Amino acid sequence: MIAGARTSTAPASELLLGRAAGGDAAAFDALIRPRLDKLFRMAMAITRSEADARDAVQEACVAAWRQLPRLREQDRFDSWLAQILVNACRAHLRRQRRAEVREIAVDGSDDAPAAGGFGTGGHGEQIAEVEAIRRAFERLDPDVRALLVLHYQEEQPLAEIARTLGAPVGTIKWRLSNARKALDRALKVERR
Amino acid sequence: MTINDRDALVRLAISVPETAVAPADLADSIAVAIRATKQNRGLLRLGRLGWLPRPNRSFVALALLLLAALVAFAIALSRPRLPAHLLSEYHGGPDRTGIMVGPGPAGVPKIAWDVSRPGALPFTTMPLVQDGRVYVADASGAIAALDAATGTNLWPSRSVGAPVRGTPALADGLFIVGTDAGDVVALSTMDGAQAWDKSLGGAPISASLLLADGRIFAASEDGTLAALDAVSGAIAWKISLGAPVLHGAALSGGVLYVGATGGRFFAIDADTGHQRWNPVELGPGGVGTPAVANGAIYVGSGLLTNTGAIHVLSVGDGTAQWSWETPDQRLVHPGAVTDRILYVVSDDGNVYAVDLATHVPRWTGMTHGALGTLASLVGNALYVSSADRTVYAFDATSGANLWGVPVIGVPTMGAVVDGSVFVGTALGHVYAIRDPAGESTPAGS
Repeated sequence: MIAGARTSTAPASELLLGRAAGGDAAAFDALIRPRLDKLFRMAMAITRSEADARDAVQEACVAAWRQLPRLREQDRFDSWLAQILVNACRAHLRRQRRAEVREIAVDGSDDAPAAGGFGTGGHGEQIAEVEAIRRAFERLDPDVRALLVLHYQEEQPLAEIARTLGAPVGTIKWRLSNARKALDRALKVERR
Repeated sequence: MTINDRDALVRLAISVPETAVAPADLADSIAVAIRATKQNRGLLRLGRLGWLPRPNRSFVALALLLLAALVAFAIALSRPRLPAHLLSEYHGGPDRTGIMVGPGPAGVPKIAWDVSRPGALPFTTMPLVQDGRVYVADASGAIAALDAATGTNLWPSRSVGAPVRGTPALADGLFIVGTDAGDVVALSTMDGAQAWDKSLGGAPISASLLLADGRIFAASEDGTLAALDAVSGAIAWKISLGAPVLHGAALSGGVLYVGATGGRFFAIDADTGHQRWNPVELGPGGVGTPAVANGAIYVGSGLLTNTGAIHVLSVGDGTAQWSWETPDQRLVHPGAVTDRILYVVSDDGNVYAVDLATHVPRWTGMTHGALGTLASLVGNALYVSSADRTVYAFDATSGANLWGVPVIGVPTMGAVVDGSVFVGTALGHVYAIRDPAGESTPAGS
């Protein structure tokens, strides 16, 4: 679910979903608005850029609106929406990766939160470590980033991550282990 | 550090705090975007067949799908095949050949309506027409959707807050403009409400926007060239060409062709933003909007200088094939191009129908003012807007002058559709020119 352990979002009302699936834009708006902050934070965590997060959320919402009439299991609306958002973030990051050889960074790439912006408040060493992890995270492949965000920020159980990413639970477990190792490797590079 | 400590640190490093909230205008932007987006409903919803036993559900679904496909095929066959975007953007389409959907007016047309706008419509812009509406943006930043039949403004007063000097584009329920403030702004075609706004960096965007494959390509006066998703405004890629771009690009075969001030001409992969071949030097001055047809690029050079030429380049590698100049080397643009004739417009006031086989003009049509805008070609009629404040039509085969309609101010290029020519002028007028009897000439070339 988009509503993780730390933040609750009311389940999508069947009435609103039905109306939105029938083409009622106001109903869709009513569904999206209460979820927007949550979606934005998830996109921010994956893309590390406010501008990219904004683009990804907008892309995801438009895609969800388009595809909503085909959503069969309406009780899965939140994880379905999260899946679309994760895909939008991954696509966005991949496009950016392709853009790295270009002469201008796509806008917002310097908008990552500043050091200490997440309220670390710990000892100096720990603050330095958090910063190093943050930089290491930004070195990771978009798919790995998405997986780590679902696990660490969204605190989704493995079964929920599996639904969001469309893979079996066993595969997700293995990928999560690999993602942690990838983060460790990136951290070593950061510490050199 | 223990594993648990490590997990806590990773969580701290990765997570975005709950105090972070979505930008205040994001919900509204999404609301406008979805109102401009059609839902994907497919051909039928199988869930509605729940009253049938399962084997019959599949059979009925398949039968209905086949029936729907047959009906769609029959409808497609019965409709005239019109390119979807011909009047959705500058110069008729992304290849900028100037061939428009038409039909044009028959006989000797007159002004059907004349609407005054708050700002000038520069000669680099052109009205866009879709579904009975004429969309205009002017140099005051005002935006409007006019009823094509009457000229009545269908929107409340709308502005993008900065002058618009290039031609906008119409895409997926959005009217998209580039501004002097360096923004690309999308407005809902329903009511002109803003859907999204993306800055390219602040330099004016005076070149016309290009629309293709769901993307908007925009270039600015600091040399930035960018591809944006037409629905969301997300920037797919952004590059610098190193010199101001004052005129727009053309696109064909997945490649953007665009020139910059200083005479460099580029071929850019539309998907990735990478250069396809090394830039070609076209000499001093600026480079105009190219046209792409017949495996060749037709582009005018020498803008901002006193001498100009049309260069014909290979699309494959930019190799020069041939060039063409007026006798006194005046500024020239590829007004329109077919498989046999390149219609060259010049600031000497003439239009030249240059034979592509012999490179010699078949005919020369004369007006009494410079031709700074490109031309529009529909069937056998070539429409030209002259600085003598007249919109002309020439017979495209013989060069005979078919008619001329005077307007107030230097006219923009005409949008030729539905038996009408829609033009704006540098004095802020927008005109519909059509046959009072409602007759029109056949479309197609």
